[in-house]
Amino acid sequence: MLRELRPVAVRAWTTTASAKTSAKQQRGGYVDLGPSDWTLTIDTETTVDVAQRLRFGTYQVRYRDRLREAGIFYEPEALTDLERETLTRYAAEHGFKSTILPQFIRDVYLRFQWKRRALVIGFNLPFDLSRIAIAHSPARPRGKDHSMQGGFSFAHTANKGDPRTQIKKIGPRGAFIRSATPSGREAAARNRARGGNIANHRGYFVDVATLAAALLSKKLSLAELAQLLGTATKKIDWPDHDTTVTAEYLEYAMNDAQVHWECFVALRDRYERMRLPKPIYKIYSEASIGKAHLEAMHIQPWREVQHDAPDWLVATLLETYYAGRCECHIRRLPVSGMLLDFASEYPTSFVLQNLHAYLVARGFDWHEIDPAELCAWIKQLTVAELFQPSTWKRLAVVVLVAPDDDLFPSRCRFDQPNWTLGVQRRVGGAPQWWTLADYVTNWLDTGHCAPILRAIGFTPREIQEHLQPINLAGDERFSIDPAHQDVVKLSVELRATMRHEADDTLDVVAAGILHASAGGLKNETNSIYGDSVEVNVAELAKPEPVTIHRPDGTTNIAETTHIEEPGRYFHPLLATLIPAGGRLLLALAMRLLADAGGEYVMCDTDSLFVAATADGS
Amino acid sequence: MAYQDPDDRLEGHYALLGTRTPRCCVPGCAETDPRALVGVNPNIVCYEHQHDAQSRAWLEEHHVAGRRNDPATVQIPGNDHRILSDLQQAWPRDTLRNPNTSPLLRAAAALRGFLDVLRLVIERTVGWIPALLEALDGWLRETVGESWWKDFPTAGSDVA
Repeated sequence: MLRELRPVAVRAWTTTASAKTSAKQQRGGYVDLGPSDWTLTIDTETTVDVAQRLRFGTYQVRYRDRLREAGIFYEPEALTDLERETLTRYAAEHGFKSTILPQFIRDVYLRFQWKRRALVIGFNLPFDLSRIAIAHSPARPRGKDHSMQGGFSFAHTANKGDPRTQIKKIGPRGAFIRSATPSGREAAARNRARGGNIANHRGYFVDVATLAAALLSKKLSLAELAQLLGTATKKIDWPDHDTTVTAEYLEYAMNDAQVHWECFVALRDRYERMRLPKPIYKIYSEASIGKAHLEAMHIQPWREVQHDAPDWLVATLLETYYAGRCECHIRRLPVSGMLLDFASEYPTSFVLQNLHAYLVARGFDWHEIDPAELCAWIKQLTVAELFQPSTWKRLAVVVLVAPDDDLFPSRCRFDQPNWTLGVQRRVGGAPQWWTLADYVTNWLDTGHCAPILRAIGFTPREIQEHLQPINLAGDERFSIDPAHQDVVKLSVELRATMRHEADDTLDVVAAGILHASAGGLKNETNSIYGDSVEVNVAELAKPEPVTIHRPDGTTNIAETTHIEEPGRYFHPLLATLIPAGGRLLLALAMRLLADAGGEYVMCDTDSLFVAATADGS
Repeated sequence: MAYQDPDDRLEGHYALLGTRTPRCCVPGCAETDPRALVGVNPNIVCYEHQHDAQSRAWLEEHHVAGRRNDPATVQIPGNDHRILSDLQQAWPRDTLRNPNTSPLLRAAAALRGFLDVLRLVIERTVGWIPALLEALDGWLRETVGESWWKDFPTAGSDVA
């Protein structure tokens, strides 16, 4: 057997002075005044070359949903004399306002977006906002707020008293958008000077594409979204944007702004039915909705209810953290077979281990376990017993192991620059912490009980007070009391119900929405895992010292430009136990396959590609 | 050209008070107009109760046509004075300031001042009723039914 000497990496737990301040600020928190009843919907049309320069744009201003003003703005230098004439004539004939870009910025955009705190609505809004800017630069941190670092800052006027717009992409479907606080004293600052607690005005932006992706779990074009939501106005098909501005083209553009608005209203109605406390302009993904459900149930984040967990314990838990198992077992050989996929693997892991008890508890207690007793229990474990839910409830344990030719998840550099996860046969090296689920997986694979040097078990503390029942996804049939019911289990059941209803209905639009909502619910459920492991990285211009904590209680100081700040619902125990349970479920499937004489070709987290036998069975 | 947009000013008032639903915290006081309130949330009081606390008169002298147009004043409650002064900020700048003492602008200011008073009186006396009726209708539809008035004892009137 080939043996290689390789360094392994484990997830570290670090703390910084600035991160602690930030957490305190989050708890103390300033209050957001929220948007007014005004909305501003904008859309832009650009050149089709690399520069994608603004040609003209359309907008709608509404007060309490009633249209107050609609118009067209344009970049004079990007249009010919004839096009300008066509545009102004079209606007006059249809009762729309027509303005040049600087005038639109002053009289409409800044007037409503900034002075009247209107909700700004668009489809792929970052693109539109960048098209109505006159200059851009990298977004700079402000004090200890590094959240927009790595993004762009757009100026809409040359006046420093006017707010810039900061945009930072946070994923394929979303971006943080906010106004930078301009120079001069804003009303919010005057409020704080008088003893108030109003947060700076950061603007209110809703990208309909992001909102749709969060609610429907699909990245859709505007035409597809309007079709799915059944809006009264449908997007007009316009094949060529590299064309002269004509009345028909302007008609198309004005229609687009209306479609943006109607899609927003349909999505807003869906979101309001959920009765979640998070404002719609703070929804960036399914995870945002997942967190909003936790907030609606008044589930307090672990970091806010448990302050006595020592750093060494968090470091121990994070050392055991690994994501899903992904490997290729048979390479460079065409193999026919079948892909097997777990239904809701992580939710199953969550429910089997009764992790809901930890989610709603006022923290967890930890205690030492006798390694000999633990080994004795594992040695008598059978595959059949691992299919008993009662066995899974005993897996909230982490173990310090000295591997001796044992299979354990290991993060290494396998002939590539990045650290990647592989389940490796480990010999020697320093003892390392793993979850008991990974230890059991090794037992299933090798039949060997590696020496356990230390074991720590966990139990949930008492249930949090003031938990609130809610209707899951706003559906009255799925009323859940978090004090007594498992939120993840009910989410999975609701999803199954939605899919059955979608299959049964003859209404194509309703079926599409039900399928999309079921997909959204799946991601919201999975987001409980994502939230528990959320760590936001702030990129600093200058290195800052961080304290690295080790499971043995020792620390060392290192300097880095990448500071990690745990997310609001960070929970190191859930973060490690959920995927560890998932890996054990996968290992059980592999074991059943092996016992049946089968072979797998590859696996990825919750799926297994099983090779067919020679006769194709 | 408006001197200062009243809707823009309204947002400034809300931000300064620190809430979109301000209300005078003195028990029994129903003042909710942000233009007539001072302090920061939750310690918000209306001008009249602030004046009470400071042992000042709650009635104030209001220049209906603006100080520059006519020295004549009328006595009005402090809260209403704040609202009327705020409404004056929406007048055209020249009408409010009348730098050349134009008699036409003075007349325009007198009319605008009168209209503002009229608007305030209407808003203060019956302005609250439509919202109440709408809210009550919503509540009846929810609790009694969409056609709640079918069973309403209208006593021969044509309400239903």
